[in-house]
Amino acid sequence: MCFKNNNRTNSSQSDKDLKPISLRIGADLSMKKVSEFLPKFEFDTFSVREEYNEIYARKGVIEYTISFIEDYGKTHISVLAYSERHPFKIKKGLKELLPFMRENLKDYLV
Amino acid sequence: MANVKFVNVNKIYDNNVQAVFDFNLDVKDKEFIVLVGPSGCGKSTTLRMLAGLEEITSGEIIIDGTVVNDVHPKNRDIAMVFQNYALYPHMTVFDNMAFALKMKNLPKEEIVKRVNEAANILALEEYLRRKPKALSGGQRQRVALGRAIVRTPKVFLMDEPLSNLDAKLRVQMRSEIIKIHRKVNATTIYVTHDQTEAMTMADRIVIMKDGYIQQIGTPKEVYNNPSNMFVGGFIGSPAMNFLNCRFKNGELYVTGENDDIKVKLDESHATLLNKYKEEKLNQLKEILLRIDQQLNEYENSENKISEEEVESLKKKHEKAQKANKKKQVVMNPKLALARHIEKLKSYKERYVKEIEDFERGEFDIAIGIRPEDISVKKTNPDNKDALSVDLSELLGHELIIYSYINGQRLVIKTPAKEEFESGESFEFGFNTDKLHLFDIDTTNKIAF
Repeated sequence: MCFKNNNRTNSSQSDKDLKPISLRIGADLSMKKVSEFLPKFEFDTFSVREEYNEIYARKGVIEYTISFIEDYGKTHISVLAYSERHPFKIKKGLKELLPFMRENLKDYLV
Repeated sequence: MANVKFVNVNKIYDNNVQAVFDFNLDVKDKEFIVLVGPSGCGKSTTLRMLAGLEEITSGEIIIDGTVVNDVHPKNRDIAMVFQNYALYPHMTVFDNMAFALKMKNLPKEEIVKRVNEAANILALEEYLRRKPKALSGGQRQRVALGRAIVRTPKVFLMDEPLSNLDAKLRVQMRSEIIKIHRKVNATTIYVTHDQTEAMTMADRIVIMKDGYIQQIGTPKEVYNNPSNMFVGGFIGSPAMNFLNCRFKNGELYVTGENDDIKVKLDESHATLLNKYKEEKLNQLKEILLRIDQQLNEYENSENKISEEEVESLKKKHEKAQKANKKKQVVMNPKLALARHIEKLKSYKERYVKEIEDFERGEFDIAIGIRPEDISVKKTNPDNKDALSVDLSELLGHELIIYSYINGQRLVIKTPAKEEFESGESFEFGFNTDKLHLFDIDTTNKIAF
């Protein structure tokens, strides 16, 4: 049996926690806000790619790519979790990170 | 790096469809050229001919002084990025980027060095072990770009590389591609149908339509000085307004029911139109002379037939056509000639009238004015020069007003300081400096 080694937020996900996060602020500001509080999640690696509106982070065996896509004044945050060797842990990783992000962004949620 | 030259390049497909007509272009070393135009204009075909993916019917393509018409694609030293990324799904990002280098049998250390350098430029270091399906659309396109960069080719070709990305990412990637171009400094030819992409990225733009080059120039040149009505309408959003007008008694009037809507011209326009009048008169007289010559030839030929004979041949032809509903009946050569003569006579009539008009100083032209070059001011409905707002769209800091002038559509872009509701009246003024004059027959800009 081969497990999928990545999982991402998707508006068609049945699990509410796994839906993308939408903010009512622009992408640049969203990325600034997220990069301020996200290190509290205690990542092993954390890097911000401003030019691509993207954050790369790794915690244990899971790698996260957080993309900020602006759309008419709103910003949709898409999170992709990836693990080459431990694919069964990625959903759990996503379900931990996304509520943490929602809690810290509650003032800006759409 | 390299310069690229297209000399009289034509492409005719097997089904006899000609996609590219007499394409001539000189791309300088390190230049970023964008080929832009609507679907089916031949831009991708041109790019694919340069890549060697399509054969050239005639003409020459020269890369760095060498004719490459018969050079195999892999030996042309060019790299191409496609709209659908064209990544190998079963290979990791590293392997995708390293593939061409492995094919070249480069040493392993060199491959690792080049891939890491490209990954660093494109912020892909963390994704090298992943397969494409574990990447976002933007990341996949970066991998496709990286695969081209690692080869350090003479020429980069990009065929609508951003069309699969969402709007915001497209804007980001646009600026990234420009940055990469500056970093890598390779001659780049980029194909798109998006005029905004062309305007923001190109050193020079090549605008194409129906296989023909319409204009080559810097973004500023093609915007400020379009060579014909197609270019004027294609570049710029909202598109340039075109109004049919008639020049008479030294003044220009908008054609329509109301024949006293005057377009203010400056002295340079008046001089231009006078020159145009002279030039056009000469052209029309020349055409008329040729028609007369042909008619004379026929009058003196042995094939001349009487009107009665023509009528009887016509009847015969109609009868035969009715009997063979589905088939095209071959026309009697005498009748075909008579019909040709009829056409020539009607042309003659038209040209004689046109020449008379031009000699009187009366003729039709089209004017082009960009929506942002029209000023507006609210007025009361009694003002006889006023136009009425058909529809207005607020785009944040700008307002787009849709209206009609003498039955012809007029779109105006104005700062959103004042609101204009549907049905409201307003006065307008064209910025005379920004007025473009076009020949109504050829659609070319009137310029000398």
